[in-house]
Amino acid sequence: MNFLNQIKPKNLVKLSIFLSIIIFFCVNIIINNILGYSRIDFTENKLYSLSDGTKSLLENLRANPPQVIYFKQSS
Amino acid sequence: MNTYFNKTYIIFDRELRGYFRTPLASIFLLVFLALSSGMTFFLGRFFERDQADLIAFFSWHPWLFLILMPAIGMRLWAEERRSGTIELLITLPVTNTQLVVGKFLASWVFTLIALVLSMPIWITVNYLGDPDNNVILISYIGSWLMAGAFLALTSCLSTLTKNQVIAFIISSISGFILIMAGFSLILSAVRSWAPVWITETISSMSFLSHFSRIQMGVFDLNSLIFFLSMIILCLWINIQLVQIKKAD
Repeated sequence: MNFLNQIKPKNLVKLSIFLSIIIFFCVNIIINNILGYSRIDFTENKLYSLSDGTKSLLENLRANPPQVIYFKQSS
Repeated sequence: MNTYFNKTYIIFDRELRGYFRTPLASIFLLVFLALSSGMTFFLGRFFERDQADLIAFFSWHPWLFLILMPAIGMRLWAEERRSGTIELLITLPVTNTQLVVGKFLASWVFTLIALVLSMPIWITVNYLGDPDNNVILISYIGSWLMAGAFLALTSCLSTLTKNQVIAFIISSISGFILIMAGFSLILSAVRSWAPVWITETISSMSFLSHFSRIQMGVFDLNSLIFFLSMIILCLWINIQLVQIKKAD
């Protein structure tokens, strides 16, 4: 760490502020990518969660459910 | 370790009492309560909405804090520097970290008092209907976290100047940028030349989008980490700035 002694203390402080802002952005970008949508639903009726009925419906689907897709002629 | 926190507590205690020794506390509490309930009933149309929730109350908090948090945070360091008491403070056997954290915690707890005093609106909504109290509790916690982020920002920026008015205006403007970060007002300036990931990062820094999710009752871990890391970043910069500016 010899090279740090050659920098003026004031510039060292500015450097540390600059680096801490970069670390802040990195932490938030990484957290956003890792956690994705890890959220806790605190509403009483679980308004923002999938209900058990929906989950069991999705689990009991056949492997390849028939899909019907409609297209407009113009698109 | 115990004496370390003791000193922080002494600074905290002195600052918190300082709020109540001056008319600042009563004026701030009065203005906060009057504005927040006025906005709930007149702008938020609490009765006309006919729903048992406090969305009409909480959705104004980012805008209220934009003006009120700089008002209680602007004096933290600008006043010390103007009156010269910062020199006395620095010579005392406390570290800069203890000073910054103690002063910040005092202002943060002061906002907690203001939020607790807005309790009658919670009693009102429980008397009139059957609201989801979990959502209200989470909204209060989210609101307090957001207030902390505003206060840390203000505290950090008030170190830069000796003039409280300048500290107030700078922190209001930077608070406004942080609130609006997710909206096209700010994004359109960046979108034309920057790659997508920069635009997305800026929009994920928006106070308003984080708070609106918390207010629905969905607590995002990202939001918790965002607000806490914002507080830690601002306080860290604050500690560094006190180090530079103490002799100015």
